[in-house]
Amino acid sequence: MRQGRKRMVERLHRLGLRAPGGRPRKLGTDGRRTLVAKAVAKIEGDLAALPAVDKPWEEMSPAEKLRNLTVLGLDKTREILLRDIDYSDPVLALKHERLVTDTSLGLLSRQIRVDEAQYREPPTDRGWDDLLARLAANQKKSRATAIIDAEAVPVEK
Amino acid sequence: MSIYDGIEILKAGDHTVTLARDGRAVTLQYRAIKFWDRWRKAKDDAARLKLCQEQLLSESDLDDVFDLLAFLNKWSPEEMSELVPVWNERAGGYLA
Repeated sequence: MRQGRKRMVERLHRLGLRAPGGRPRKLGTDGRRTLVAKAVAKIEGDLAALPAVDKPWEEMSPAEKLRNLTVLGLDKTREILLRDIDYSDPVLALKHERLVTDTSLGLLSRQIRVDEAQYREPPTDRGWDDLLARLAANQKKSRATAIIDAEAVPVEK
Repeated sequence: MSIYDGIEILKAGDHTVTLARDGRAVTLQYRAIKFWDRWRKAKDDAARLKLCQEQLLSESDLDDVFDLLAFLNKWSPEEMSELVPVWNERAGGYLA
């Protein structure tokens, strides 16, 4: 175990938390269904929130093109997730199941990243800025003191 | 009164900083403080990713950021348990 991770695991254990890591658990059929339902709900929410761009492709700005492709991408992802799995061919069914699970997990991990923004403190925290200003003033003072100390070295006669 | 008011600056070197409050002290790299400041002020996800690539140099830097947040009591253990995996995912790929 790398030193940094070891320290992090110890810190989490001190806080009474479990340390994330290890092999991801295998999903059963029910787990996959729940995952797919969550992912589809997420896509439908995202699609409803995206403003429509009604312009020819050539006239779109890069941001509008990206928005347009995002809509297409979400539509395609939804189609993959909702497609019925054909169990007559076990190999193909397994591949399809893997694709559906990976697609759902990818979508949900993106959602976690978006949600994470909600936990961040707003940048209008004056106390923090005051602390930084105090720190900068103290650093300046320390530098000045160091220079005075260096100049005060007695000269040998 | 904000939680920052009670923080005493015991050492303010160019590289290392020691902060104290309520009998607790923490020593960390100044760049961890700058990193957290930039992370808070980053305007979007792309800016935060760029920051990770450019500023977060090692796992000990990330440890210092966690130490700072624990010192500031910014997160409850529950919030930390939710955020730690996200931080790992976000920053893990960029650690040296």
